[in-house]
Amino acid sequence: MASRTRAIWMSVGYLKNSFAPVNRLPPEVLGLIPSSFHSKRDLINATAVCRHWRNALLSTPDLWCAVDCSGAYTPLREHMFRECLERSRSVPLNVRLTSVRHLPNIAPHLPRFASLEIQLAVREQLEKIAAHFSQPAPLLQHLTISAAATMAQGTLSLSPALFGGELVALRTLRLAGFSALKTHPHFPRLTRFDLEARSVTRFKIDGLLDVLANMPLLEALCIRFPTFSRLSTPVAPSPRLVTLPKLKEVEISVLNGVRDSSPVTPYIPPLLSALILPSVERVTIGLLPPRGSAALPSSFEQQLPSFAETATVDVYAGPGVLDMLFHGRRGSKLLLSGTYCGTFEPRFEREGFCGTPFLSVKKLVVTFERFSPGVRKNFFELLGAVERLESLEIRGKHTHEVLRLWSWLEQRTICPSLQSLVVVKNPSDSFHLILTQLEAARKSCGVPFAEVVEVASDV
Amino acid sequence: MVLLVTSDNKNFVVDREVADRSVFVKNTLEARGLSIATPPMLNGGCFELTSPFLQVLEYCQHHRGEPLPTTDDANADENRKRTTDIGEWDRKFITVDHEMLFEIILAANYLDIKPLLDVGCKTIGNMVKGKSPEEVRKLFDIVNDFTPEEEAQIKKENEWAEDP
Repeated sequence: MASRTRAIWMSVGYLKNSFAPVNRLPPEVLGLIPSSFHSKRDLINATAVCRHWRNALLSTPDLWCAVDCSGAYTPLREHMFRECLERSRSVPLNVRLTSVRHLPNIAPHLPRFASLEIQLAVREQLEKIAAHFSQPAPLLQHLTISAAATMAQGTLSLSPALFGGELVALRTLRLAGFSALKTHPHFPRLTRFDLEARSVTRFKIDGLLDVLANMPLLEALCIRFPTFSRLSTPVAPSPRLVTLPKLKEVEISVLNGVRDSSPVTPYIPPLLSALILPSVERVTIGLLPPRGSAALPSSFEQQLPSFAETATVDVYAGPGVLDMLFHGRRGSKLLLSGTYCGTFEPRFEREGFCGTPFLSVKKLVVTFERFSPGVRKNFFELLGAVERLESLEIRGKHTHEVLRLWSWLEQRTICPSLQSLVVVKNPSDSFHLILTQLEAARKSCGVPFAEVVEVASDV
Repeated sequence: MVLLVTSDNKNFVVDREVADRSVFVKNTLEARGLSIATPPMLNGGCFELTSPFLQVLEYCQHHRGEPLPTTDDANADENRKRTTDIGEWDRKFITVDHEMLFEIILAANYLDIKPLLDVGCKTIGNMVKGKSPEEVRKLFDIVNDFTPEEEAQIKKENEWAEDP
């Protein structure tokens, strides 16, 4: 009797709900509402509102296409894992895998993987994954494989058996902790490739070039090397050349800087010299984060001629940047970015700038950690070398430093083309004072350049 | 110019550029080579368009000239849906009572104006986010109509949702 009463009560409730204004929305529209949810809590709550909502959401496969195979095995996780796979029907899946426990269950769905993120804790996991994921994944567009930082050093490489060696739909490939791809499958649609090498003991330029040669549509390339210490032995340039006709952005950098004065990395020059990049628009080279006193390799400037006329070059480094200014290429726009450290000791003389090809540099961004008199003097000399400078952005910490700079700029014996000066300073440091003084100076100086001062406070 | 006739026989003359924000109207006009579009019946009943239609027209007027979302980039479409951000103007526009909000969403769905449908659904999504099922029921005047079996399954899913 009680159950019958309850059943009737449920039916009445269902009928009442069908008249609720929100339930005039058809199931396919209700199914769109959780698209912007980012927590499974919100999604599950929404399925628990009423039967109309639950039916609508459970029959919207897109809401269940994120499959998380992480954490230790529990019967509940196993149950929900299967539920999600069932609810997602046949839509492409976005899979996150940190545990190999679910591999037997997820592997049959490989043909509908759209994205796959793998986090490896131990090397053996990759072998197990390769064994289970041996069939092609024709829909896979985004693949990320990251090795834990705690994983033992050594060579980690992709097995030829993974995905049957076929990644025809792949658009982005991110590998962290890898030093090589044993196999060189063709990546006909790949547009972005990120490689974070943790070990360089077996890193081979030729091996990387083999991989890049199979990425004809690559638009963005990012290669990050680990920290080096006294690894200054030059790496021999590769005899081969690889053309990446579509590449627009390239970053080749060293993580965490270097610990001594050895070159940034022996790999940058030979790698750059082996690449022909006719469409490149932005090049970033150097140290991340920018620090230390490391110099760019003296041969660095030799790589510049392979860049397109319009390329913007970001360089993160110490005084090596200034070395490059001597030898850089005429016509390049140089975006000089980074932090000059207290140990910065310039190694050039005023006459060294005369006739520098970087007279046509148009935009310059400089960050000062400490604007010591020595640094300031040489910075001014640097400006003297950029006669066509149109835009200067200075990031400083202290008001008096920026004011000194301004008083110098007021004399304007150089930088006749300057049109835009942006001073970004620490907002906690007398922000209004500097704003007032700069504005007064601007009015009194006759303003040879169009727009003089813009003060931002977003440091 | 295009003459749009709502199902309750109100006429609206709008620029073609404005009318084309609706994929339904655009396709109808292109298919028939006409400048008059009459929305047919919806679900066998009369679709009272006038009131929400004025709102929809305002939205289309404001966003005229903006690029229409394309169907060939599934990633962009997915990203657009997943973001919770609603532009300043859109947010003010969609700040209406529940009844009107649902009408606008229905109209956007029917007229196939994806950006407006997104704004409407995100607005409801933002109302629902962080609320318990009971709070959502209260918000939308809904009662719990689950069977005991469904309740048991929901309980399991709740435990799973709590699982880190």
